[in-house]
Amino acid sequence: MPGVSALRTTDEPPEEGPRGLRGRGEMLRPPPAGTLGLPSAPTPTEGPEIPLMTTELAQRRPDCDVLIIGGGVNGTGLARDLSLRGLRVILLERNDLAFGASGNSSGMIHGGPRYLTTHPSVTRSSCVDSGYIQTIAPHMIFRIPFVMPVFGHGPVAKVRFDAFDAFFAVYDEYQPLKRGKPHTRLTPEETLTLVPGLRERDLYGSITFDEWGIYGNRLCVANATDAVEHGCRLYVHTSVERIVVEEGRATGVTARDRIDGRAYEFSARVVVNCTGAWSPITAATAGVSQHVRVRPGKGVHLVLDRPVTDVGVMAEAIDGRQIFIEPWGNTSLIGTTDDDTYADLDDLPVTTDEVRYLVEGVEQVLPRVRDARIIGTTVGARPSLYAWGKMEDALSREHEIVDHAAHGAEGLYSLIGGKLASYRMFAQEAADLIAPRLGNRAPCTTHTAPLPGGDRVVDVDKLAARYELTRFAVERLVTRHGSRAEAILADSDRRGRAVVCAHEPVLACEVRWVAKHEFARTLADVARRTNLAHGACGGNDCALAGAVIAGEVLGWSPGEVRAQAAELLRERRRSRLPAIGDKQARAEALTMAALRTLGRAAQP
Amino acid sequence: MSAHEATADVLVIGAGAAGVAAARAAREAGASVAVVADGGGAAALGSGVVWGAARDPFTAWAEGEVWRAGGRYVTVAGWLVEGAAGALRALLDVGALAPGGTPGVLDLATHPSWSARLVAQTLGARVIPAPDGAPGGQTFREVAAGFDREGAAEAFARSLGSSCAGLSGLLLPPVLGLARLDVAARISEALGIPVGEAAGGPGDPPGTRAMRALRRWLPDGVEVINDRATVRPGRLPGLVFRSGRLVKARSVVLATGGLVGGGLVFGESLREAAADAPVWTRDRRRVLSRAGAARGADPAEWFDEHTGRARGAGLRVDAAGRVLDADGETPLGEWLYAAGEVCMGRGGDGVADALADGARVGRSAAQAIGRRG
Repeated sequence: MPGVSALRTTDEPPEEGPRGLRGRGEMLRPPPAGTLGLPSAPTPTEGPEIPLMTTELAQRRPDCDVLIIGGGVNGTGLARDLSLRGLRVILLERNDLAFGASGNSSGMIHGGPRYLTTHPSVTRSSCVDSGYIQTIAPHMIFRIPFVMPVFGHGPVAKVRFDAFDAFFAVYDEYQPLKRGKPHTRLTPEETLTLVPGLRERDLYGSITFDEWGIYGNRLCVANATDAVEHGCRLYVHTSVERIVVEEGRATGVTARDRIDGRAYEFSARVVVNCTGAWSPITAATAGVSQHVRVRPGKGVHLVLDRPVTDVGVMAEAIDGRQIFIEPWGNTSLIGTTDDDTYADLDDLPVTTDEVRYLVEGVEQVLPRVRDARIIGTTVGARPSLYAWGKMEDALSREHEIVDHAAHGAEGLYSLIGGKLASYRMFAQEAADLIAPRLGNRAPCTTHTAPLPGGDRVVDVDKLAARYELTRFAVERLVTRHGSRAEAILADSDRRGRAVVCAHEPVLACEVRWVAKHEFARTLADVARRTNLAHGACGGNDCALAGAVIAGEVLGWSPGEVRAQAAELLRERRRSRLPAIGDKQARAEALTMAALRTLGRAAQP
Repeated sequence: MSAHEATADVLVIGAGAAGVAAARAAREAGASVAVVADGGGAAALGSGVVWGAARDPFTAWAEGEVWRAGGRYVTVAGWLVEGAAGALRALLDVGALAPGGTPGVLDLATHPSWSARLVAQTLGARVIPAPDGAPGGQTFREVAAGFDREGAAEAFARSLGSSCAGLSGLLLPPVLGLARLDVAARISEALGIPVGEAAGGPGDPPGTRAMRALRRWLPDGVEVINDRATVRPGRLPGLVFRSGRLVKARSVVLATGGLVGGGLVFGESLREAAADAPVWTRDRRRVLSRAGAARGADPAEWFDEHTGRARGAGLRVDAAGRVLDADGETPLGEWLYAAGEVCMGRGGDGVADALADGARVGRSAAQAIGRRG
């Protein structure tokens, strides 16, 4: 594997569009081929080939080579990798794609400077993989420069400032891997110009560093889409009830559709558990949960109704942990809490206390955050590797592949840990291990083959002019779908180009496309893929319209249309409830009025 | 004016369903009445759908002039929405449009939540293409404003030509007028069949129209003060307006609404805006403001996640409608009444209940003045 130097020996800097700190919405262009000095795929590790099964379930040809459980970034990433290698894959997801940590993270493919002192290998691998992801999915990536203000006076503040400066100088070594700019030192005046409204009192200066944002849910959908286009069979809302282990070998699973109740039985040569924080629960169905140890850490983010700043700003929470506020499309994200959770992973609660913890922390450096309205929260459980006696934020973010052959279940693997930023590498490691055992020696191509929509840059202005849409609407569409935005618009009539959700904005034709081509089965699934109802109106203005359009594609009865709209409104409201304040209470009451209008039939 | 002289016997704060009904009932009981109006609340911002059958003796009101004045949609909704069978009553119950016949559903290009095909499929109705020149727009309010224009209703009916022949009624999205209350009636008269509209959502035209109908329904001689007021206790209680102006009355009725109307305000805790009267959770255990205020009360206590309704935190009142103090027994004053959604347990029951409650309390307030002398 080439090291840092190999990735820095590019003569020609990758083309990046306008420079400067106003990174929001800035499109990243894919670099000319070869500029990143991509390492060739490592030689697959030699291992014993897994013979075809002899048990009763396997009398017929197995339904697939590899059955993957879990539609997060690891599961969809692995499904894509194996499908591109020509293996037959089935992917089962209990809820929806990106339902867990993948769709509820801070949405950064960064190196995680916070891991630099404790787990530099995590920082490094994240940076390397970040570079690849930028190449294969440039459309869904956006630059987020961060400012870390330093407060204090005299020598103490200087020492602190210099320490950060030195720290980020080390991080700079990794930045070229992900095409980040080196850090800079800013005076108080420069800092305040960059972040108006930042606390002036005691401001000593600030350090800037460069990160990349990504839409985690879109990343999962893109991986799943590519996998399916290469033969993978995908079932969402389908929960594995049991991993079948016969004569010491995993031979398949039994599963149930959680929407229509259908029962399935799939045979497979290999079963891979990619269920993140759920992995011990999944492993338990094969009796091997004691070998799959994660320590789920609940991470909560707040979504604000506006981009409060143009850049990310670091802050400290009351307990000294680092938190931040970052511009996020039309909104801002504040994150992240990190607390052990023992709650139901399908239904993680967000508490009023967590909301206050985050808001108060950011308020210390950016008082005007109080002017914004909290329009939602996100919550996910990190699949951190298990360790006893450590604080949550000191847990390892490394990943690990558990081969359960030694536990009496040959052909069963669990992928645990990992980070969004290095999902591709993790998937490659797993595929490099599994594919040869199935007699497949095809090389990994996931670092060079573009994800759906990532094949070329789309001319946003041209599209906007051709379809008489605002640049803003087209730009958001392209951010989600890349070059496929053209197909989405080509497939629409004038009515199809109506704006359904003004806050994002989401077009009718995108809702239709997502319902048709992106495996959505509920309106909440559609919303997760489009950001429908995730804006300031909380769905009051668009839930029913979205349901009507999706319902036409998915064959919903009018009653189902209303039930789906009501369910989405209820889900969105639930995400806001812990954050309710004077600015939001009135809107909540209106949402309730909307729910009432949708009728009793739509209530449980 | 002397500070000891009352401007009116009964001052009603709020001109939504509860406030207007209270004013009307107090006036009918012989009191002099003034109403303070400050923007639209739940009745105006709601969908215009009337929930719940109004209780006697106000059934006649709900089915009578108020709702008829509000336009045919509200009339239809008023007596059909709740009682009708089927899963789609809120949107689609237009049984009145189709007594034994086939209604038409207008395929108007407007807000994407309107799908004539879907509605027609449910009703067993026929999709009627929108005629050229029909009012249009991306939002229901834009279309409704188009129907407000002089002659627009008749022109629309004419342009439909013979496409409505044989239909038992015509259903439109919620666009039958914004400021005008007679759009449905005009189209209906021109076509010779009933015309109705489907329910919309918060802020859609039917709510705006219902609000106008309510205001219009205030009896003659009731002064309307467009301002925001807080209550000042005293032998003769008064209202203080933003300008500092003071108005005295013998009784005050809080008909200020819930969270939407602004009667209840959520800050550090849930607070009653006009008189800072104690707010209770529905289980009657906890006072949310004034004495013993719970800082930052948990919203879960007054929002019901599962039904999507307020659990009805609000003021407690006695049988006569007088606001109770933090002990839950003593009235705050003989003169302070409350009606509608500002009261505990009333949130979520809708316009018809607010009407009935307002009328009951308005009459009670007026009669008590007579007794107090």
